Amino acid sequence: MTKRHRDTILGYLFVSPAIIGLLLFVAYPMVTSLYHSFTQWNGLTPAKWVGLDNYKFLFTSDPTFWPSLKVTVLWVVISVPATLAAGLALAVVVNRTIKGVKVFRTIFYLPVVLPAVAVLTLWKYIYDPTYGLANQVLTFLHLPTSLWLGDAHVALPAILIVGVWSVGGTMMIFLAGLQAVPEEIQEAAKVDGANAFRRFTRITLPMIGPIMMLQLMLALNGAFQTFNQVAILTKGGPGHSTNLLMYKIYNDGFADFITSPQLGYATAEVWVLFVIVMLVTVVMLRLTRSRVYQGEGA
Amino acid sequence: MPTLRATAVLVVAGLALAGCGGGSGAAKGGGSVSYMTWESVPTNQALDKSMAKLQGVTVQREESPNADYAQKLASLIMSKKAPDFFWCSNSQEQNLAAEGLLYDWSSYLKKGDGLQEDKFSPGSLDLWRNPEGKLYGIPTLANTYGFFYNKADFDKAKLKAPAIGWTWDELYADIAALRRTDAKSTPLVNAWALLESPQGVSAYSVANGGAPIVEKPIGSKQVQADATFRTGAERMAKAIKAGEMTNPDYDGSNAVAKFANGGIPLMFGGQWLHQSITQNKPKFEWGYAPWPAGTAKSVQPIETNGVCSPATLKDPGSTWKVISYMEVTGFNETMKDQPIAPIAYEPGSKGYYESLQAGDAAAKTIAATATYELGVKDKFVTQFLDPWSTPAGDVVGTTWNPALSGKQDVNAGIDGMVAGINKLAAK
Repeated sequence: MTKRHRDTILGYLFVSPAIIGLLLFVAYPMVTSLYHSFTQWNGLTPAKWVGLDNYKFLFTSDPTFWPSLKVTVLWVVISVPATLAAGLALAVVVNRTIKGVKVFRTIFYLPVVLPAVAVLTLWKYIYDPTYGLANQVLTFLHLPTSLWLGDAHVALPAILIVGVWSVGGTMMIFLAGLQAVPEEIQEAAKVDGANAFRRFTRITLPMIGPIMMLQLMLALNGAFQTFNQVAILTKGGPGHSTNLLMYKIYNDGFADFITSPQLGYATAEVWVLFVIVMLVTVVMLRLTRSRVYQGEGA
Repeated sequence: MPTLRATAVLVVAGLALAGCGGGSGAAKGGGSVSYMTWESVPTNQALDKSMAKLQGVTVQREESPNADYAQKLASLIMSKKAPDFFWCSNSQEQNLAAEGLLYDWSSYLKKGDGLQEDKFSPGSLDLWRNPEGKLYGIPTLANTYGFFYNKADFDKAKLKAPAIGWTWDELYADIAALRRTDAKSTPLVNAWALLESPQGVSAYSVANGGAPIVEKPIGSKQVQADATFRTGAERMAKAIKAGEMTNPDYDGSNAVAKFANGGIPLMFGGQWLHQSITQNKPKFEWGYAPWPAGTAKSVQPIETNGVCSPATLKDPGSTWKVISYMEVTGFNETMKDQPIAPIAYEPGSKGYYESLQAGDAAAKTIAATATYELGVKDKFVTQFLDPWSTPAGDVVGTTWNPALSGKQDVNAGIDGMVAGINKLAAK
């Protein structure tokens, strides 16, 4: 055996735990879930092959699918720009060399470190219409109070606020991008008479384009798969006003598992969501690729 | 020879070990029975105390979170580790039984060794039998639903407080008057989504001479909405539009606290809310009244939770003994300590009523309403029980609720709901 062969075998041996893990915990569940999406399966008794029935029912008869998709699209359209804008704004603020900036960075990043369930439970108390902090503040300011999570018109914006509040992760990635923008270009523009706004829109933003694109993809994927906020704060309600697709899938598959176990149907929904996310990601990549500055020689 | 001797020693030791394999229950001369509930910590503690007194059987309660009870139970059933009996709702029992996953208690009830069939409150056992008449669960805690009223608000509006025998006409007249007294607030708030559900309007329909939404509660393949049902829905939609009552999508999770703080004149909910209200110590006179009567009759809800056992149950004799003990002694002691609900097995309800009778005037109205509702001859079932019940909930949520909330025509909403559910039921 030559050294080259030995190295190849050794290489495969080193990566084999990862490959086995990938096959076992990613590939296998994906293949079985695709199979189960064509079955009537409750997880308690053997699966029964039903062909395309699950998909047919989802698109033609499920009364909650289209309302849920509509809310999900609305959520993505609002939450993605809001999250990116808030993350970028915070990053710009904490990118300055002012006294105590590290403390602010820590404070803004703190919600990311805290367990999501704890944070959301806290927000549940904040939004409590009777005793919650939100209404106490409104009352103090002599403004009308709200039912918050209990009002179909307010619940979605209310959980959006929670999402934006924990935007520290996005901020940190933007901050890294901002700090990579060469200072000499900024200085040259300043000498040429460009004001701060012009420097930001003409130099900073284009130069953090790849970071922006990465953030956009991450935010899109995250928004389509939003679950925690809905599961803990609203349970999809009031009515169907916050019944995002990911929560609907959980609900159909697990939430009322004993009364109506529909794991086969839920896996069909998972595959539909997967296709939607994939399509949106591909379209966004195509739309933004030519507009993003890839650096010299890219 | 030494090999033979060693083998003999091993066989004897093995047999001795097998003989000890009866578990801790064997020491008491009976079996060991496990069970699981979705009750609160204080209720479980009270139940534990009582169950520990049972002689001859070791009873072990398995811890379970209240919120994720269904998931825990499902995983236990899937892994064939379900406890010997567990809390189940009526619709859960019907669904699990249809999948062949539950133990049939019919023969034990017929034997009469333990629970007596004729001592269950009228009609309660019927809802636990499948279409073939087999009994896959035993009803336990019975729920009643009604109206919690703030007497001061009724006095202020110069109205008689709701009481047994009040009518649907009075209900609608009262909430209109309460709205006139305080035009900013919604007088009737739903803490529980039954009143404005199809079953709630079905109760109105039957009470006023119409037909129920399902002809039979178990094994029904279609729903219907007759003229009286439609009148009931239109009347409710009108009251919602006028701001006299909350809509079906209203989130009532904070209603109890608001009621106890004097912010709601009339709140619809179940008898178990009594404990939460009492803990908040309202500083006004309040009480609990049953469903209103119609022009034809008084129709009251029938709803029980219960216990079920897995089809793989190993020791039905000991389990039956524990269930029988719990229904009478266990619940009498537990409900005396934690008065949550009357018991469908009537000898088990004494503790509940004793606790309420020893309480304040409001507690006495809870007892009176519970007694009245359970005793009334004409009943309505509070939920769909057939296997199509859960997807039917989605149909109701997308057709019926928007119609009642004024987002679409009431009759169009009813037609959509009827057509949607019938399509599901026919599958």
